[in-house]
Amino acid sequence: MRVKINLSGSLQGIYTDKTSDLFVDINIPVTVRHVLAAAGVNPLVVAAVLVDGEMKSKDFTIEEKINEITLVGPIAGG
Amino acid sequence: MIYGYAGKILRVDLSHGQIKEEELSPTLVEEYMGGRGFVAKTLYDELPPDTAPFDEDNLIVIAMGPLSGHFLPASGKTHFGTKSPATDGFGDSNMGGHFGVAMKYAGYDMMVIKGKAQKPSYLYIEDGHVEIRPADKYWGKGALTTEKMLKDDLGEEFQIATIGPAGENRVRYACISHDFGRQAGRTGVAAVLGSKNIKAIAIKGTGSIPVHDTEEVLTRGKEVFSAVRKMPGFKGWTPQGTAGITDWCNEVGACPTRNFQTSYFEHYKQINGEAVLEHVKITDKGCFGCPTPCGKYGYAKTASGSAFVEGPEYETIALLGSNCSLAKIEEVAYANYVCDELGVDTISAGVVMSWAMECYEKGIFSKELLGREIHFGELDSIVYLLEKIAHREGLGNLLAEGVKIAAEKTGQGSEKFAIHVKGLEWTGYECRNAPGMMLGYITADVGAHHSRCWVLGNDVAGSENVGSVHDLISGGKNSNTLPKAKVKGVSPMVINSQHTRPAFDILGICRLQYMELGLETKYYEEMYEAITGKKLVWSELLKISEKIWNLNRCFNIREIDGYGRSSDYPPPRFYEEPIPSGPNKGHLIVLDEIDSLLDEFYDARGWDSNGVPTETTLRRLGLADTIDTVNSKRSSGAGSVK
Repeated sequence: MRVKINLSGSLQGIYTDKTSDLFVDINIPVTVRHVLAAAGVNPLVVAAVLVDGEMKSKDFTIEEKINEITLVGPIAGG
Repeated sequence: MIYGYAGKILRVDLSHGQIKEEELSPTLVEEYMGGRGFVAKTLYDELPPDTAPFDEDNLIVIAMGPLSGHFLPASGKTHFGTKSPATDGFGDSNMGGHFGVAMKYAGYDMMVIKGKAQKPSYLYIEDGHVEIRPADKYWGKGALTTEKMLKDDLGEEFQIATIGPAGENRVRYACISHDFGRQAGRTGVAAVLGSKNIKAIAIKGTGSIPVHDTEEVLTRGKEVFSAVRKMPGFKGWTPQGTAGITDWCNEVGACPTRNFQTSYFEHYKQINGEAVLEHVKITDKGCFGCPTPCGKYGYAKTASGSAFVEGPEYETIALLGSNCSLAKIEEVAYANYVCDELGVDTISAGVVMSWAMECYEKGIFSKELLGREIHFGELDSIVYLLEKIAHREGLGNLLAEGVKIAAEKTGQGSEKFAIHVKGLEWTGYECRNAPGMMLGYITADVGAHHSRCWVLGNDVAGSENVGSVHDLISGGKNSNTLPKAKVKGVSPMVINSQHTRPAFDILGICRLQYMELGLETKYYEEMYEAITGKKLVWSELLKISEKIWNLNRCFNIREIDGYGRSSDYPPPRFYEEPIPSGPNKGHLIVLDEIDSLLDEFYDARGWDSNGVPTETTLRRLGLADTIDTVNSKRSSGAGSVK
């Protein structure tokens, strides 16, 4: 299964080599953490994960077909 | 007419009751663009050298940028600057809300306030009409209370910036409040306003700002709003706002806990973004034109008191929460409210109080000296200390000086755990395993503030090159222990961040849509051109940012004896005490590593080994007029390590 990986702003600043057209091929079942590793993204750098728009943990197991995973990077401020 | 700008500067001399307007200089616009640039240039040129922060000759400068107040996301950021009572050097602070937009609509891009009013006063500004009015009925009142009173008296359409009792009493980390929860929190700008007997500034602006191409501005504006809502992180970031980072900061061992004794707070799930939504939040609250409202307005109910409050945001969660060991979000939110009403910065207050609690634990402060016991994790202790600080009562008078001065006066080893740089208390990111972030903090012009540089994510990403990635990914037995982050080669990313983050304070716009969501720079460039009629190349903006960075370094060299390398070190706790627990257990950055960080950084910036810009660098940046002053300080030993 081919999944699109979207990187939010601060992650684009960290992984400058990863474009908006980042795709990975995965076999289910698989955890988000492993998908990140396959995409070359250190799971620790990711602050939040959206799987097809739904907030999930990095240990969430993907068991059905999905289209995209959005990775929200760390933020600062307030 | 200069497109994009209101076109005028308002000058208020409180000592002589004089109010003047002058045309905005095209040269100032060309060289410094706006906001932070205007503040830096004005302070360097107009502040008499060696003016003390509370001397009536000190200036308060308030400035907006070319993108402020226009039809694009979050264009309502206001920049305040002064000679800081926290650091004795360049001080500034950036505030969201609607205040500066009203100032611009009233006709002013910048306001310069000097002198001292004879009695408590406030500035009344209604379009071009300006008065210095008596403020006796508001003096002594809380900042939030004063804002409500002024709105009742003047009308809801006035935008109000106020100080609380802390500002009146010159607490060195007093903050300016606005919009019932937005603050210019850092570097003590409100204490300077208080020293001038100014309680508030009330502005109503109904004018407009000339733009180059109105139709293009509307078209581009709609595009930007639409683009922001489609950004990948929009749904992931907006609901919790900055509080959403609490979990992550603990996961990577960067959450200041019990006066930075450690970097992991065991109760973080009780004070994180989800806790804010569940126990405090009533509604989202955003600044002018914001499509990503990160403010969470709510109600905090505790045994010590209850109140409506905006927040807490991450910094407040970290410094009043984990760093003071408060383990309930309602209690953090209530402490946030008390700070807001008294008019003190939640960040600095959190550091100062946690330092006092550690002093009490170590027997340096007694119950008799304090007037009661104070303990980590106890809301009553925090509320008690805040009241004492804001009114400078008892030991509160010492704590009101900030943690640097308080520790110097207290001695007994307390300097080692006074967590600040240059006198400004450290914000919410523990750095003993984050060399880039550490370097960003220790070299910032204003002291330890994340608004100048934030590369913690890069530090964490960099650490994978050194440690066991397999464990991190698999969640294996070492998954909660981070490898040591790399120290060498971090300067380029730090310098890039130091130029990029403050660049938004020049434009007068919020950086979050770019930094957190990844809004491309082309949107800002296109909007800038539509508004001003001039091209904006992003790299040129970063050059202005670099110029300001160096100008502020020169300001500090001029104003502070011996300023330079010796000013650029973290507190000893960070290079002497390994982190005792959490994911970064055992890590620290030793002094030799800090020296190598500084050597690499100075070299990359074109500064000498004492951290003083070289003549070549100053000429390259168009700062030749600072050379004589800088050289006179250089020859007298500026920056040498003592």
